[in-house]
Amino acid sequence: MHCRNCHTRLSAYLDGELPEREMRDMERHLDGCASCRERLAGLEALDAPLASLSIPEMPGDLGYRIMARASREYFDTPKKGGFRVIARRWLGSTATASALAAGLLLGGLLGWNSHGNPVSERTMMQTEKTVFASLSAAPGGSIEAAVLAGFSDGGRL
Amino acid sequence: MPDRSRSQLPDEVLLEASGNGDRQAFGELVRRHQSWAWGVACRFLGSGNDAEDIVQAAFIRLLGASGRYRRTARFKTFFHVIISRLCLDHAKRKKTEQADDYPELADSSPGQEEALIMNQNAARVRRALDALPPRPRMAVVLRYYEGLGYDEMAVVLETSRKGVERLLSRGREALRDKLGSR
Repeated sequence: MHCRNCHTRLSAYLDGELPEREMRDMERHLDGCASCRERLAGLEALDAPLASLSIPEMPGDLGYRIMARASREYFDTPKKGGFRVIARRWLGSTATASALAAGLLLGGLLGWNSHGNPVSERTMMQTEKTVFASLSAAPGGSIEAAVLAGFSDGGRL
Repeated sequence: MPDRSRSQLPDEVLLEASGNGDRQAFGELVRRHQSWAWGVACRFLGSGNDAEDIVQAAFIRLLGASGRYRRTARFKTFFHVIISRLCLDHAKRKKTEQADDYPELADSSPGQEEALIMNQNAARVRRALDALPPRPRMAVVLRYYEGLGYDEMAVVLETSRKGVERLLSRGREALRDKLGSR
């Protein structure tokens, strides 16, 4: 091993972080090289001054300030994507989803009617009945069930 | 979650609970980790004021990242990544204040003379650390004061083991020259 190679690996050797074979190679080289041993000793001697480095005392209220900031910026603030989370939770309830589907169906029907489609009042009432019957017969019934029920009986829609 | 049980829970569980809005769980994490986080930031930055900003920001970022945390990574490594990145970003933005937390002592009576020497030594080490480029400086902090191994340092510094080896070697050589050890 050349001294130059040894120099680049001294730090890792000091930390015992070289593979076993390289550790042995380093040891062999150091045994026979006073210059590299001196260099190694120079690195070892850093331990004492680095250990003497003191740091300012941690402010006693640091934890309190972190918690206050966390409340302000996280716990008491709506999260990003909060609308999606709320929407998912809300729609996660089957009953809510069914009610929403029924509302959309009826809304669509009324809208269609207001644009001149000749759907009779009787047909609309029948559809409403069917949709509500479907929902009330199966609380927790799915969107699909409600929509299909609306279309199957009121197929004229 | 009962208050008493939180102190017995692992960090990883507390982090997940914190992400779900459990303030007490987050409070427990702050209690456990603020001290070493303060140490990392102070030793890297050399300024208590900057360190306080960084530690606060690190905990807030930890909270924000809690949803992305996977238990396959050690909590402490995860937090080391966060605080190291913040420190390195800060170093890019601002030249570190020089030894502002090491006031000079005016008197030199025997007891104080010793304190003065210690103070001067500490200031010398501080200046030597401040003179290092940010990444080798962080490598020195993580190795000497946090006792991290090369694999963990590689994760924190987003490099390879070889990269860690080079950063540390560079840092140590520069420190040896500055501190006048052989």
